[in-house]
Amino acid sequence: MRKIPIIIDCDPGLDDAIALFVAFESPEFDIKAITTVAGNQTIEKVTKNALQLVEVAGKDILVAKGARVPLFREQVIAAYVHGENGLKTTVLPEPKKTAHPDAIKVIYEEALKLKGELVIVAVGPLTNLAQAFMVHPDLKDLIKKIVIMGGGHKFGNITPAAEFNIFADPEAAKVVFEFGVELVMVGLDVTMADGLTRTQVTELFTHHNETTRIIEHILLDMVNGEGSAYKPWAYIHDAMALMYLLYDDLLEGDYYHVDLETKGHLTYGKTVVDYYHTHKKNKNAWVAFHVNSERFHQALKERLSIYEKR
Amino acid sequence: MSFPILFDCDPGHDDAIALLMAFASDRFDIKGVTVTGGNQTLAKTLNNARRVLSFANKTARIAPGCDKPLMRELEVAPQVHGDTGLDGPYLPESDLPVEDKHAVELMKEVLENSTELVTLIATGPLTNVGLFLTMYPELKVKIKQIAIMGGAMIGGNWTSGAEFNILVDPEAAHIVFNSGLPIIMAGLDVTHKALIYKEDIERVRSVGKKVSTMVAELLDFFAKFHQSMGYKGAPLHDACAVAYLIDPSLFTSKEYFVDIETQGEFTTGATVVDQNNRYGKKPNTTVLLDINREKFVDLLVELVKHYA
Repeated sequence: MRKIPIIIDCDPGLDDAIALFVAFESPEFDIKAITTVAGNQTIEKVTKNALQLVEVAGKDILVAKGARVPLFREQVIAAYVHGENGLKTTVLPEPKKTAHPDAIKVIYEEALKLKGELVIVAVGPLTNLAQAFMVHPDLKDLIKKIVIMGGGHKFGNITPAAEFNIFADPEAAKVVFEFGVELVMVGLDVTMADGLTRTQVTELFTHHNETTRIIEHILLDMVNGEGSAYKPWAYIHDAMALMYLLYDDLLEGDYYHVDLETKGHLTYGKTVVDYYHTHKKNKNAWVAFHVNSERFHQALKERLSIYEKR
Repeated sequence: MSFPILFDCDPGHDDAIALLMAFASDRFDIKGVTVTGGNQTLAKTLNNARRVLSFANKTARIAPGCDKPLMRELEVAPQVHGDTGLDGPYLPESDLPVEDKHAVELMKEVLENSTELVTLIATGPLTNVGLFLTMYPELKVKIKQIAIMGGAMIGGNWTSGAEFNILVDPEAAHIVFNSGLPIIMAGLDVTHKALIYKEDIERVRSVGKKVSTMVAELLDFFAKFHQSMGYKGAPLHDACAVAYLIDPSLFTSKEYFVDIETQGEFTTGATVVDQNNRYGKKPNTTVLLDINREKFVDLLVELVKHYA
C-alpha cells in the first residue's frame, strides 16, 4: 500500500488529541511530522501536549514548534473549551523529548523531499501555513492538498459568524485560501452535525488499558464542553477533517469560492462561502456540507478501538 | 378584522405583486405607501408604485422617500427588474396624486393620528424606515412590528455574504434591527423557497382579468431572469413579508437576535443571525425559515381574483 505522507498541523487541544490518536494507528498515513501552532492554548502548552500524546501512544514522530502568535491580530485562546493546560482535566506524563524549534523549516523540507506528494492536515489556526507560504512561495507546487478543520458556512462558534480556528488568525486563513493549493474545508457545517453522546463514548471500548482510559477521559471532557447552546455531544471536529483522507464516503460537499472576512465588526473571521454562486470568482475550496453519520461512527470506533489491543 | 399598515417599497416586480396582494387582502387598512430607491431609482420606483395602484383601481396616500441610502451611493438592479424597474407588462402612466411631503413625514402623521399600533411592511432597502426611526424615536411606541423582506441567515444573493435590500443600505438596516422593535425577517432562507413555477404563472393568468394578466406578465419577466440564473422558479421575495402578515401559519420561523454587518470587506449587509446565542442577547427578530409553497401560491391566486 502506498501511504499518504502527511504533516499534521495542530494545537492540541482535546479534539486535536483525538485526531492524533486516529492518525497514529492509521496504516494509510506516513506521518512526517506534527507541527504545532498557538490556538486552543499557548504555543508552549500545545507543543508540550503534542509531545506527550506522541509518547503516550508510543510513537516516534517529530514534533516541531510553530507560530507563537497570529500574523496580525491579538492572540485569542480557547481555554473556555480546552482548559488551562489545553487538555482540560487530562494529565499526561512529562515528555522525554523536546520539540524541533522550527515548524516552517520542517514543512518546507518535507515538501521538497516529497516533490509534490505532501498532504497537510491543518486543524488549528492557519498561522504556520501562511508563514510557510509567504517565506516559500514555491510551496504552491510542492503540496498536494491541504485539509483544514475550520470555518463554517451556516454559523460560527466563537462568534455567530466565525469558527474558532479561523477567528484566531483570519489574516493567515486569507493567505492560505488565496494561495492556490487544493484546499478542503471541513467546517462546523459537518463537524457539528454529528458527535458522540456520553453513552457512545463509554461504549467505545470493551477492554481498557492506560491509553484507552486517556482517550475516553478526553472524550468525556469534550461531551457538553462547548456550552449549553449545543447538543451534549463530544464534537469530533479535527478527527473528522483527518478522516476525510481515509474514507471517500465520509463527507459530501462541492467546490465553492470562499472569501475570508478580515474587516467586519460582526463577521471578522467568517468564511464567506459563495453558496449561490453570486459571483464568478474561482472556486478555491471544496467545502464539506454533509457527513455520513453511519460511516463517521463506524470509522471512529474502528480507528480508536485499535488501542484496546495494545 | 383589519389592522393599520404603512407599506414602504421600491417596485420592482415582487414589490408590485406584494402591493397588489396587500391591497386585495381584507386583513390590512393601508394608511400609506412610501417609496424608496432600490430596485430602480426613486423617480422610477415612485412612478411604478403609482402605475400599479392606478391600474388596479386602488388609491392610497403615497409619498416619495429617500433617493439614496443614508451613507452610501444607490445601487439599482436593472438586470433583475429592467430599465423601468417594472419591465414586462404594459402599464399606462398614472394620475394618482403624490403627497407633498417626504415619506418620513407621512409615516409621522399616520403614526401620530393612529389610535392602534401600526405595522410597517418594508420590501426595499430600509432607508426610509431607518431615517424615520432616527428622526422620530418617540413614535416607536406607535409601531407594532416591522415586517421586512431582506437579509438571509445563510448566504446572500447580491454578494456571497449579503442580500440586496440590506446590502444597498446596511446602515439603515442596522438602525432598524437595533431599534428594539419586533422585526419579522423574510430573508432568502424562506424567499428562495417561495418559488413560482411556470404552471403557477398560468394559474394566475387563467383568472382572466386585467390585473391577473398584468401579474402573470410581471411574473413572466421575473421568471425569465431567474431562469437565466439557474433558479427552478421565480423567488417571490417581497410577497413573503405580506403573506406572513396575512397568514403566519404558512410559515415556520424561529426567534433570534440579528445584527447587521456594516464594515465587512465581503460581508457588508450581512444579517448576522445568532443561531447559537453567542451574544446572549434577547431575540429581536422572527426569522422566517420555511414556507408551505402550495398554500402560498393558492393565497396569491385567491388575492389576484379580488381584482376585476
